[in-house]
Amino acid sequence: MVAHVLGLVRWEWFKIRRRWLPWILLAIAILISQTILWGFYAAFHLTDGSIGSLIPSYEYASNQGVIEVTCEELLQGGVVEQKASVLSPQEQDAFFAGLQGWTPDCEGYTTADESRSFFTLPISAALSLYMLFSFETGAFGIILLLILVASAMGSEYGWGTLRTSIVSGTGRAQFLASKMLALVFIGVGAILVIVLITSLTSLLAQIIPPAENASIVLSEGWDDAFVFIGKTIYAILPFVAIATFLTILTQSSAAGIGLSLGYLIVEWLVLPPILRINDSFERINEGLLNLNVIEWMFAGNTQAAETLDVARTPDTLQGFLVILAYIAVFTAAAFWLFLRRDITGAKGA
Amino acid sequence: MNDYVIQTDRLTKRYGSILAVDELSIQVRRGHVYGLLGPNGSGKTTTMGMLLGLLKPTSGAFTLFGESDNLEASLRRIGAVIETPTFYPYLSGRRNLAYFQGISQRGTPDEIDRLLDQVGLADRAGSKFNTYSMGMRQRLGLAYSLLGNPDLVILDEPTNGLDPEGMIEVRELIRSLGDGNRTVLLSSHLLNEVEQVCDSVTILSKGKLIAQGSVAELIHSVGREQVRMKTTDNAKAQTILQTLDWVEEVTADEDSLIVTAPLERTAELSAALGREEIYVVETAPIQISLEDYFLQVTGDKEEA
Repeated sequence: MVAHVLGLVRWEWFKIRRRWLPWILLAIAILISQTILWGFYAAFHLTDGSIGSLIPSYEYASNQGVIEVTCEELLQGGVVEQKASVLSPQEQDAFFAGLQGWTPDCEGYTTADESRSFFTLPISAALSLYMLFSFETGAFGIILLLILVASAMGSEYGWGTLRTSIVSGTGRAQFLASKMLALVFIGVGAILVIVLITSLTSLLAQIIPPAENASIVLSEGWDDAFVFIGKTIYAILPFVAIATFLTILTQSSAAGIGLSLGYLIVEWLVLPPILRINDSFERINEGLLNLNVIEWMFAGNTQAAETLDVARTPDTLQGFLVILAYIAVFTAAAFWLFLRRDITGAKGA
Repeated sequence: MNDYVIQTDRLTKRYGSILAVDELSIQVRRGHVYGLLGPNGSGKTTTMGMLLGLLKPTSGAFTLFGESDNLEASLRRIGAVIETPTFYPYLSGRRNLAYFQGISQRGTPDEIDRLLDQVGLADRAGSKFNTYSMGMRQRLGLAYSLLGNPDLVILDEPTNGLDPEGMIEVRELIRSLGDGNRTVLLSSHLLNEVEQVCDSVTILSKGKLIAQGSVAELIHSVGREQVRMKTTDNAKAQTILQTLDWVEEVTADEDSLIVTAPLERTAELSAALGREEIYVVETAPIQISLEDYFLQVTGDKEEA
């Protein structure tokens, strides 16, 4: 049974690699990740090393003149207090009150070293995945994955080839299992390709442009980067299951893509604000897939998570379990429906 | 060894209020070319879809090769094309066959080119499926159904879209498939096709079994034997022949007479006319076609 399914996975790859769509989607994913990497690269060099310097500083007009505080100074212990020491007690109160109001502006501040790490390994590899799969940055990677899965499954209905495959004695369960496995492998392959290309271009970004004594510097934290890649791979699994189920439900590529994206939008953008209306909805909120994916992928004390400033609650176990539940429920639903439904002729795309 | 490759027992398929197949019980004997005949919407494709595991029967049961509990193993002994052959449009004919050979593990990759040659697609084997004409698609479907030299071949309207020459070739091919131990189940709404190709036939109408048996038996069961005659005086000949008590009916048809009478007594018809100095110019027995039979039995059922 397992050998048969793995054999079918090989044949899935035989046909899917000859389609344009997977390669176009991969090219888009690479383009996005490279745009991000080179965007950080350009920002680093344009700001002379500190992307954080783009944040306007805090200015307080006192009797002694204007006192200016930058984010970097704010984060250095004692500098602000030293600057405030020249002020009268009343002015100090006003100075610190104003400073408190400005402090949130520095949340996105990064030091020169941090800014450089965004396009150098290993942070750059993790960052490319973060930018692709994070809901905070558009979840483009997940959207591309949903399109791939829904298209691969839906086209079997559209072309009528599902019927030809089943008639050949493949077995419905084996056919669906191999299809889902192949799509997971393709997703994993795409992630590894993106990481590989990002790694190569990260090395390139360190030796150009023309800084004197330019050299390749590899930071520490590779272990964390590999953990991050592994977490990303686990996080894409529920989306493969969801898109597969919705496409089987609709028996159409277009409807499958539409419903999958609709599901993503509802879960990601519509439900969270609605559920915040009442505290009793909080438990429902905790069960939403996208929030748990964020927790699972980006929580914890990894260097990557700290550098990217994306750590939320440290409850990765909940994230892991909720993702597992989504994988189990949607995979079971997809198989249940697929095994019971009549298979009719070509339905068109 | 079970002598029947297909047996259905009150097989029924219902779509809501529509009864597509109504308690169909048929038996298909090994080594025959078996026709499933009926007008569009009679339940032929639905029946085939249930046998191939595409459609779930509402009730009833069926066995393939005497087994009912291992459909996937049975399907690997069957080559089938239902309705229009459907393949991956962006793959060539050869690659489509390679894919289906690979997933079904029927036969070997070596036979793909031989099959493409057999169905007359060798020249276009490397072209993408979406560039194929309807006839070429049918041919590729036939090649697909023959992968692995299956014990049972199920073909649904296999000559659809073929030109007359292609139809003849495909019919000859199907006829040859039924030689030996292989069984062919063929559905068609073309009566002459079934008559030319099949040994046995089941006639369906509105999901119901109307008749089944060998083509010869069914035609014979109509029980009408007729002779077309041209004479030197048709009007007088009609009067004379109507007086013979063993002649059932004599009707005029343009410049001929249609005489309903036992074929073995055709010589006696000529003799009776000769005695009255009326001479027979031409005489020929009229073959009762499956079409006549089909129209008669379906008409009878509908009237009933």
